[in-house]
Amino acid sequence: MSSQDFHIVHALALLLAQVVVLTFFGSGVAQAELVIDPNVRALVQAGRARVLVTLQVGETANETLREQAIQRAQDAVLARLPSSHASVVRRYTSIPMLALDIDAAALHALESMTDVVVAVTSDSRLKPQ
Amino acid sequence: MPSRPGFALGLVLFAALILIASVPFWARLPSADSASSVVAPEVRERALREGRIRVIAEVRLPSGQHVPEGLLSGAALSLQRNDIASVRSQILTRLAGRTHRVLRQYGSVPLLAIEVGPDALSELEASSLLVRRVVEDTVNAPTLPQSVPLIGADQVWNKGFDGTGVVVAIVDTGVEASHPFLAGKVVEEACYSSTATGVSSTMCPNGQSQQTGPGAGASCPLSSSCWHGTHVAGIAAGNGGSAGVTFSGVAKGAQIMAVQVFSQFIRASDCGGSAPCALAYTSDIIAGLERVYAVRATRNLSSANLSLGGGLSTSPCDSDPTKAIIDNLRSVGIATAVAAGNNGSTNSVSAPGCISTAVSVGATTKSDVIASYSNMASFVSLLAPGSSIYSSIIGGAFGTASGTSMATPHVTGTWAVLKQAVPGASVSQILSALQSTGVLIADTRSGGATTKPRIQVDQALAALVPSVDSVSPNQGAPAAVVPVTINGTGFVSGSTVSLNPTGVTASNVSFVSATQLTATLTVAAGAATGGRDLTVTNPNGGSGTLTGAFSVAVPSIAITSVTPNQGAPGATVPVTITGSGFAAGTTVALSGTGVSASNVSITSATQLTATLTIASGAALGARDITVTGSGGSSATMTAGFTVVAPVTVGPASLSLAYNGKVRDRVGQGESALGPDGAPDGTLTATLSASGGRTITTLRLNSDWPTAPGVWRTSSPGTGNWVLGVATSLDGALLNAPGSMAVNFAVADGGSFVVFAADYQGGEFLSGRTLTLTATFSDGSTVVASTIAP
Repeated sequence: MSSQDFHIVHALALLLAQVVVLTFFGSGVAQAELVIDPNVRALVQAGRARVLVTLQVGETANETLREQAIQRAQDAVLARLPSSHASVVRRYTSIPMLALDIDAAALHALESMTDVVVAVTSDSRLKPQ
Repeated sequence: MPSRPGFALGLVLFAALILIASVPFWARLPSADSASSVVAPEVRERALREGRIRVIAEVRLPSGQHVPEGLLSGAALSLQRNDIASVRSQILTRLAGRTHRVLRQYGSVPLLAIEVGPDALSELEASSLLVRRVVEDTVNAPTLPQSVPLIGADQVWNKGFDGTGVVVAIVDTGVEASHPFLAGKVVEEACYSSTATGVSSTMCPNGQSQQTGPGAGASCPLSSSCWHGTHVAGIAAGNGGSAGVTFSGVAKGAQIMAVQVFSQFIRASDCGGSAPCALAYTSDIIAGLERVYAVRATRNLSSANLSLGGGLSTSPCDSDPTKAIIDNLRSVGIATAVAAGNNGSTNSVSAPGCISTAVSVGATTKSDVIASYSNMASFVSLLAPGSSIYSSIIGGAFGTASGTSMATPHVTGTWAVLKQAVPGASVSQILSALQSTGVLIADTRSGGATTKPRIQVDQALAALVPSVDSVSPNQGAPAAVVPVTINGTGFVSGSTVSLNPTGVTASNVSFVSATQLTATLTVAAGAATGGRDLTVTNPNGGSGTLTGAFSVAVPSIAITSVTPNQGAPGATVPVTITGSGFAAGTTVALSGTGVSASNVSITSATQLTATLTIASGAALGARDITVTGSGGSSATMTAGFTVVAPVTVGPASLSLAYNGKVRDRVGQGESALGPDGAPDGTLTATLSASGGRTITTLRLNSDWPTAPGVWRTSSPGTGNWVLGVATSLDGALLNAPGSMAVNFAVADGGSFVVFAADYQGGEFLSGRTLTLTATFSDGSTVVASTIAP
């Protein structure tokens, strides 16, 4: 596959994923401005970075429905990420978040997912106090 | 107690390493700016009094202030150490021949521990060019036994609340579950730790990035820092009873969920010095907290402890990714206590402590001042002791450490204690109680501008849990309905009242104030006698009980009078019996035959009424009256009622004489009713009836056609329009106060005076016919008239 073919396939995949996202959980959810932690940009310039990706999920009082919505949002994001550029560090059940190890291409992909990604922050390291 | 000399210092030095603003361990030494105060007066006095005293002398360096070695280059470090050794040597030379003994010499800090007599102390005082100050080498008792009483936790234990039945989550470097201080406490375990190639490796026991179940939350293997979680756990929930020591953690009865979230970082650049070191990814901390959230259905969790952090924020950092899980926990009543951080900042807090929904904790010393290293800010939630805290460490030992890490588990343990007492309380309710009852401590450090409450657990408990001090009245008889006032503290609208054991129920509970409730207690007719514990329960689940607050008691019955106390055969005599101990269910009986009691009605505990029916053939003579309570108590009045021969009552008549309008008032003296502006008519009535009569009502009519006056003692008018009665013109009224009803006896030939208020001005004019109708106690009436002259 040529580079052009790859981009076409990639674009189609992103479009398909977008349709899936809108179909399964996007309707009725307002889009917020996506916030990228400046530290993440700096880190991915130098290689890979562990990040926490906050997702947008519609509110519901039903815990099971909420967890299902979180899982769908996580799946949708992962489906739209170039697999060789990102790996899952942790998935969470009760909070709309993913911990990922990403490079610059994956960050670029995340930035395009304004329908579901709210923020990308550095997975900071904390000390005992 | 296991002892590891030097370890405490090691922990302190470790803590110093992780502090951005490191604190010299001798920082507790008071300042001394002049040579005249080299030796503190109390040190001098004690040396003179006791002959010898252990002191610490601070060496005055030629270069000025001592510089922490971590900030010095190799050459400067050597120079400082040489200065310390040189000056120390000069001091010891000057002490030669004086009473002294060197206890410890230090290479890296300008201190010298010596035991000195008064002569050596004088020499030190005279050596102000070499000695900056001399202070007593104080004995530092382990401070967990100090900090726990300081915050009032031991007082709460005495009330039965030590965290029993509650679980605290220690999200840290893992917990040594086999430590005697923590024996049997670790009931839930998990580990979230990450391997990142070239950066970090997991410290989960299974070598994976996560693990749950027994052993998963074990203390991580790095000797330099993995003591931390065990130390923190001991402060929150350590139990000295199982460890053979005299002190315990704040919630000594609580259980522990150990969650290990630290990873081993292998690059010195990540560790800020020597590697490896333990650091925690935020993603792993979130996973650990999510595990806490996940097990909430099976564990009665009160709080999660995060004695960790990083960075600094001068305002709440609600964009921090940890906020979502902290909010989840808070929404189900679990607080997340987070260390404020050890940067010594007066206006910022580390993350995630800066999250507004976390319970951020700053550190105080045992002297109740803000610890020099503690971060503070206007959005810090609480303060707690954090300096020199002696608690469990790995290897079954104990050690001392300082930091907001140590302050935080004081709050975490406090939460367990309070949740045990108030299971339904929300995080906000408990936080509010702690904030409103804590000891306010101002940040007096340079740049400090914040005052925050240092937790006072016993006071917070009092604010959350009602306390019952007294109930009034505090007893009732079976079948009684007793309105009571309940006095205490912590009452709220919606407080309920219950009594135990059974037999007494509370209803109509009404909130009067935080210190008073009213209620109606209904004592069952068959209630057993004895005390009842009264419990007030608030909507948050907090309750307070006063043991033996209310007693069911059969009252002691007595009879003091029976009125009337006689009657004739065939008569039905309503009687009033006075005495004490009367209550519902009380009965009346008479001895012998011929007289029976019915219609017993309890007017009050001191009066009842009954109807005595005397049979027509009843034998004449006295009867004993017995009053018996429902509980069996009784009293008898011997010859309390007598059956007497019927009195032949002759016809009665009444004569009436008008005395004129002699005064503008009804009656005289204390019982007189005041003037109305018109003189009142007075009449004198004289009875003619053998045996006399008891008059029960009187009515006076005037036939003035314009407005005929009618005055009644049975239905008096308002104001001064009344009919008064007295035995003489100036005698006191015979009318009952208030009702103006009459019930007085008049002998045959006796007379009485009636007073009628003149309310129209014409009733007593000349020529008016005035008619007085008297009703006697037997129901008969007589009428007499006169014409006003």
